[in-house]
Amino acid sequence: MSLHPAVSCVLWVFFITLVLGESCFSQGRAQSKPPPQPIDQELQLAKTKSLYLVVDTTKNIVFLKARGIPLRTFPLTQSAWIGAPLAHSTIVQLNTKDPLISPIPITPPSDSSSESPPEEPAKPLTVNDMPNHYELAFQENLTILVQPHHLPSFWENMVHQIAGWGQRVAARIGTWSGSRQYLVLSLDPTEAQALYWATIPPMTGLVILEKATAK
Amino acid sequence: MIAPIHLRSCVPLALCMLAILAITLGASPVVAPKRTTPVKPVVEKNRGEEIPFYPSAPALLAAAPKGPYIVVDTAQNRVYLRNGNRTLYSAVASTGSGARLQDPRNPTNGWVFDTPRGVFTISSKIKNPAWNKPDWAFIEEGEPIPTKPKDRIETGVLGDYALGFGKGYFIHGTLYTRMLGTNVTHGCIRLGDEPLEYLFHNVPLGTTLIIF
Repeated sequence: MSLHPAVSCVLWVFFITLVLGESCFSQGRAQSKPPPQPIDQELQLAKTKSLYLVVDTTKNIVFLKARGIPLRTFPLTQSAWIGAPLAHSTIVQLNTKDPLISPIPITPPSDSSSESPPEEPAKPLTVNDMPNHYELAFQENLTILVQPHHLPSFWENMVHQIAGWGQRVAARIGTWSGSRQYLVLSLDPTEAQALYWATIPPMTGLVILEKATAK
Repeated sequence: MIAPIHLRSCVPLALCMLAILAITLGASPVVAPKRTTPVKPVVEKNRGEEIPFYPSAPALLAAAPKGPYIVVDTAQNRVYLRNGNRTLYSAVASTGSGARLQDPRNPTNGWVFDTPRGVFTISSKIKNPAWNKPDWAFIEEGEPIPTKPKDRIETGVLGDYALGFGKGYFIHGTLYTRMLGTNVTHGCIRLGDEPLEYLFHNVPLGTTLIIF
């Protein structure tokens, strides 16, 4: 029994459609494997004995956490990516802070038996001595540029704005090679100082960025 | 015998099939993100700002300490005893100065007096502790390092109690109570007499200690 040519043609096209469709469907299924959920990634960090940061660009907030407990929050006034953002929420490890604050040296008394009054001990570093404009470089080719949102003094503010522009231009050039990604976080100056105090290499962090926007 | 195919009659059907093919190809599976049941975070006043002070997701609750735990804030020099989302007690403290002392015997060596940060466990509780002074304590004072171990022991300087959390670090008392609230220690956490006694009697061995 011979089929009508039109019916035969339809059947062939249908068959090819099925074969091609299934092949591409399974390929697509493999490619669209969803990235791990931020909550699962955070649970991984919460099980360790270390402090960790959660940089939530969807809520514009940074958390310092341990065992899942928020210990300190750092509200952001703004967060923006220079160049392309990370593909999805990612666990990162802090490599270095720039600038680094050197510890204050202690000078022991030269002669403890003398009757002269003891030297005034060196004033310890406090949060107020920390910078509010700095870079946090992570191992995963991510650099977070932290800058104060606004400073009270006009000239200080101007200097910081210019420095910020320079930093962002340098970061933009850095993204041309495609090797590094930059996230700019703007905070209240005192919050930026507290964040510097809270970050100690090689602590880990989780960057959550479902709604992040490129700048 | 196969009848001749009229291409023109096949065009609408082929177009139809191509449309089906396109739809099929375009319909790659989209896996909906897994949703966790939102839990309303418990909000507590902390330094004048409202923050969710406990895990906001049920999955994270599993990682949180069970029972009371101590939190030390080295920036504000405060100690908190907490249970779940409640603060049971808080007190002013002194934590590490972050200063550096060079070893005169070996200039490449030295000590940085930081309070370690992270998650620890209260591993010892001592009444009337005596201080076994390490080398740096003598170097800092410009004194010779004793050769006999007994010459390193100093009593009455660590308060009535000490709670150890490993590697020679303790929560202990102090003679310099006017320095409480500042970063002046060699890495240990100093407390006033009353808070130290409270912690000693309310914190069992194995309690989680979080220092940030």
